[in-house]
Amino acid sequence: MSREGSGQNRYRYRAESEMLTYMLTLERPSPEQLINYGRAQKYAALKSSARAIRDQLMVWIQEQGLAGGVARVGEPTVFNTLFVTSTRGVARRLSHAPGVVGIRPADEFKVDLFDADELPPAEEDAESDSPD
Amino acid sequence: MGKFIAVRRRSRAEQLRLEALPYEDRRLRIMQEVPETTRSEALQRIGLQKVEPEERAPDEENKFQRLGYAGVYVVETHDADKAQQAREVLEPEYHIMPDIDMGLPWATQSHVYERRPRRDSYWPEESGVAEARARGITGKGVLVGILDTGCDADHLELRDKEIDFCYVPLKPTPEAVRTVRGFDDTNGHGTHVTSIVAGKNVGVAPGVDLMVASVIESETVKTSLERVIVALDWMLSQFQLDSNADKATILNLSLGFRQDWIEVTQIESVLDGMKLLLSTLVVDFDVLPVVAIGNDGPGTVRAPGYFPECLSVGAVGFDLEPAWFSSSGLSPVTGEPEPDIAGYGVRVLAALERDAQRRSLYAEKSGTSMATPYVTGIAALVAAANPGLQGARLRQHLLDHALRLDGVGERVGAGLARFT
Repeated sequence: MSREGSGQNRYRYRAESEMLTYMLTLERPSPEQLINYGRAQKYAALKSSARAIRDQLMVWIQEQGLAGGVARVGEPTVFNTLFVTSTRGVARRLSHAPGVVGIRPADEFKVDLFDADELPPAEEDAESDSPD
Repeated sequence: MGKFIAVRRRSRAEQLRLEALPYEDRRLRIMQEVPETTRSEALQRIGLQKVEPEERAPDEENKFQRLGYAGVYVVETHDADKAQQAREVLEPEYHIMPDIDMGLPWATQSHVYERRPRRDSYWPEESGVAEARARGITGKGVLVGILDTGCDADHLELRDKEIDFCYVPLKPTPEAVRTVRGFDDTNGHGTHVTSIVAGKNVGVAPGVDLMVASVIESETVKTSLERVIVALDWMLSQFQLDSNADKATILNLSLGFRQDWIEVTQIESVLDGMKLLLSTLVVDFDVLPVVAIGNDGPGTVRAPGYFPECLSVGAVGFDLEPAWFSSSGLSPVTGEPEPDIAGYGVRVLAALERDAQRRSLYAEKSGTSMATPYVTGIAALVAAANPGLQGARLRQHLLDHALRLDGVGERVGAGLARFT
């Protein structure tokens, strides 16, 4: 199945008004700022930084009149990311919001669980498994 | 083009209205949504033949089936124009997804036991597990995080353990993320993995402090970066407890990505997102991520295992021969050979699920998914025996003390992970 037109380019083909989920990469404290922190302090500092940017973003969204195009702004985490469900048009604007470094589509995806029982054995191994 | 599936999308308001109804009324409402001819007619006008659900599908190349109660259209055509037109008809109210063969290696051929087979030891002597047990080292004081399909916390292997469990749903709002007793694993993969690390009888390191996050739907085997990130944030939040602040922490990921299962526009996002996650875990929090390298055999290695932050794991049998399925090759990121190390991953006995009589079932499963929790368990034993050894130094210790396996080239990295 070719990728083009196979339904795997949903973000490309969706209507402007459709709500999609995006991952925003945020500014974060530099490693130097965190160097003398213990884990608990690092956790608190990174979370607090992401929360401040989220709060600032909420205000910015209101100020820019974009609230109608935003369905959800996720919770801040220590990974300097925020997940936002919005229209494509708003997503483009969000990339210029204060504290935002980048924006990428972030839909769900399948993972592979690596248990192998149903895979066919290689021929040489199949032979070596024989009672002989 | 092939086949795609369109699933009816309800607006948030519709969904809330539906959820507010009593169950019977909800069913009635869903039934009322079933009659829908406009879209079917539009699809027929495009030139797609309608197939009734009970009907044998015709050989016709351009066809669709409407599964009314499920709110689903299955469209099959090799004509790109027809496919695009069908998409345009359905997209306003339907979520379009490709119908890809899962290729998920369900463990149908594994041996299932209704009782735990009695063995003197579940791990060979060369693993060092018995030696650790004899010295009273069980992984106590080490935090192990597992991101998987969940775990059955009431299985005999796990029921005596206190497991911090977190269910992270697709839309992980604070109200929806639940920290509850582990229940959510209809797949069985997460339960098997968890019990290899810390099962009472079959586990490598039964004394570890377990944090299990369910981030993969058992049926669709889907996750999202948001779910993974929220789960890891929950795990790292445990560092706020004084008692956990300095504990060695190991993250087990018995999973990976296939690029052809991810939207083209998302591949970079997923890879960059995982890289960012791993970097924060390793650099900021000194966590050791232990990650399966894949089941594609020689020549293909999978992300995120091939990222340099991870300790990537291949599989060997109990005969110490590399498993035929175990992936190996060069990392596309570093150009270095993968995997880094190996664990037992052929016919590994561990917990599966409980049956209707509440009997705890066991199964032998194979895969780098099974080799990975073995290595995680060994890492936990080593960390417990060497207080202060964690993160990159723990990784190096495991590589330095692995049992070298001669004559198998780069298929097993440094060799078999073991406790010494």
